Amino acid sequence: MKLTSPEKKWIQSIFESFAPPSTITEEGELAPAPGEVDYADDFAVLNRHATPVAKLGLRAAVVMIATSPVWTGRGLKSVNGLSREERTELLGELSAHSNAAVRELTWLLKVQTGMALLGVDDIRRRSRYDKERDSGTPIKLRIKKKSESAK
Amino acid sequence: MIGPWRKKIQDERAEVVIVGTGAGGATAARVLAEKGIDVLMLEEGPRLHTKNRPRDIIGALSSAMRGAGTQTTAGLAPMPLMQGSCVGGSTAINSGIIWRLPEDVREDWIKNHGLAPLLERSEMDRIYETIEDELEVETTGDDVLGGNAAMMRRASDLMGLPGKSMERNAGRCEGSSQCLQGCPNERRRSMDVSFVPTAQRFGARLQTLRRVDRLWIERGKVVGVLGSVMDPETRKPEARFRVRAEHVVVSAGVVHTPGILLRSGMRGMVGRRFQAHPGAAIVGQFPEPVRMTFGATQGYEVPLRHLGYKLESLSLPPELLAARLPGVGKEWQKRMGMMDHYAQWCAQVRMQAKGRIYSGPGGAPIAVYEPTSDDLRKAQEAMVLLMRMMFRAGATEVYPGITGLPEVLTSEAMLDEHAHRKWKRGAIHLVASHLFGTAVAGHDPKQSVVDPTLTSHKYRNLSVMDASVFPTNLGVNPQHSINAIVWRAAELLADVRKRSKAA
Repeated sequence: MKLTSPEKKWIQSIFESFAPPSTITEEGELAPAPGEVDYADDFAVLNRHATPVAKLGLRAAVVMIATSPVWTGRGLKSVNGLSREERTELLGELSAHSNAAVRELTWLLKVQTGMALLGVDDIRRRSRYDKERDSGTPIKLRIKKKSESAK
Repeated sequence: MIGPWRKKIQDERAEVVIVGTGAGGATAARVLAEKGIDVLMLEEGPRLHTKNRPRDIIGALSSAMRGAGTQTTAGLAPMPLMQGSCVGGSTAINSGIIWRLPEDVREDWIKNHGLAPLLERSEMDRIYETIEDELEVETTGDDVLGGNAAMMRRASDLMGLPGKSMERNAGRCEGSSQCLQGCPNERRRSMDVSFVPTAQRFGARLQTLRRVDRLWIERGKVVGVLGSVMDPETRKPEARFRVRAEHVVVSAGVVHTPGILLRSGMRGMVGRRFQAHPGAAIVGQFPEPVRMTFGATQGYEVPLRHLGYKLESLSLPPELLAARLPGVGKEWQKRMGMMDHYAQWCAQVRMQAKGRIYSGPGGAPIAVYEPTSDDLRKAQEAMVLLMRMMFRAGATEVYPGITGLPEVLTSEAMLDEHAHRKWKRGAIHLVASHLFGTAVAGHDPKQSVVDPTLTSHKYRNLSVMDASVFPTNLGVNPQHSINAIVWRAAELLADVRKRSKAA
């Protein structure tokens, strides 16, 4: 089932609140530039290939977080009605929620955020994960089997 | 699960049809084809050529793993069941860790399950040596160990643990750290780049995107298989096919082999005795760079079978590592800004729990599995040891990922405060990649599905050749045991076919 327009907006705002985009970042902090990650697109790809139960879980997670301002006492509005700072604070609260299902579904979307975020080549480069390779430091590669080298 | 029957039926014939191309199916095909038998391999997933395999994790999961890695057990605390779904099966996504069948397991299977015809020691040794040669099995060299495994070795040495570099089927490993996405240099000799092409060279045929739905049974005899042709994009059924064969070998893996048998009306022990080595991972941050980007994806291990678990280094791609780092917003982003400073190690627990595969709506298999309290005790013990090792190796922060514990531990003393409290089942995020049972082998038809030659008790021209036939779990990585046992069973099957042809 295709994502609805409100779902796409929720996905973008929820995922962006896990790792808020910014044009100015502090030293060592990994932040995407505004619009650098298409979270809804990556979500749709995984959702398409997931098992039926997982699809249900992913959609339930989005709806649960989208409506969480209502049941966390933030008023009658969806996550899109909150400022980005408020959304990030809300996600922190849900990540440590006393209800296991709330925690797990929030974590499920954090996993998705990480996959989409680090799936962007330039963001991955900025994360320093591949620093050794990027710096051009020669990495000694074994190109022969040990048994061949011994001959 | 059973797709809509549309369009024309595609008909095929073969002497032996093999369902699945993982460690079991590919080995059976390789042995039978070499013996001159007309073999047709059927694979539900696609053939992923190395150059075309996606390197990003969403693409890699979607293309190579069943349900894009989202297949889980049923229940309130679902456990992911990681299985490949492409040519090569799970060998195309694993780290190629090689262990021979432990001697205590071999003796147990002979004594208590009557598997002597399959496990004669000199035959097994001959087969192991052949496989190890063909799959280029070697000990991981120091030059490709990488920082993650080297850090684990440091901890193991400091604590006097029996750690060692892993044996892997990647003798010419270049340390690309991309086993999950498919080795970019084909150094890991997974089935898609080893036994499947070897079988094809011996004349075997391969058809991909063919999902077998059930056995084709006529007048109480298996005459072939019936299934669906899958659309390469949507992976949904677009047509149907049937293959008429003199002998059927089912090697669809521990979850889907019983699924096929159950949909074909087989009952008794089918789906029962489902076992696993569930595990969980710990991440630690180190002051010096660790660099998971380089080295064998898994290179070092601490086998503690006598305690019921095994510890392994496991490098993660950054997309998956990110979710293991605590915090949201700035806190998370700061941790993600130093991705080269993390190590991840995992524990594989030899659990005693026995679950079951049921046939669910539409015939889709449903896995039910719950660890026992003793299994959870072992998992807790293993994970506490992993965290202790992290601190001894110099970690400044350790992330347990366990509900009820702080998100960040900063010292061994802090760990000790929480180590003695009993963790609840849902607190640990268990993942199972080693699966066993569900169509077990044995001499007693009431207690097993196949006999000691892996031939069905019910249908004599049906065999099961994958880890489904294992009567127990192993306590070590299963690929090599699957390869070797199936190799021997396929040799025995080839002898039977030769005799029946001569008659």
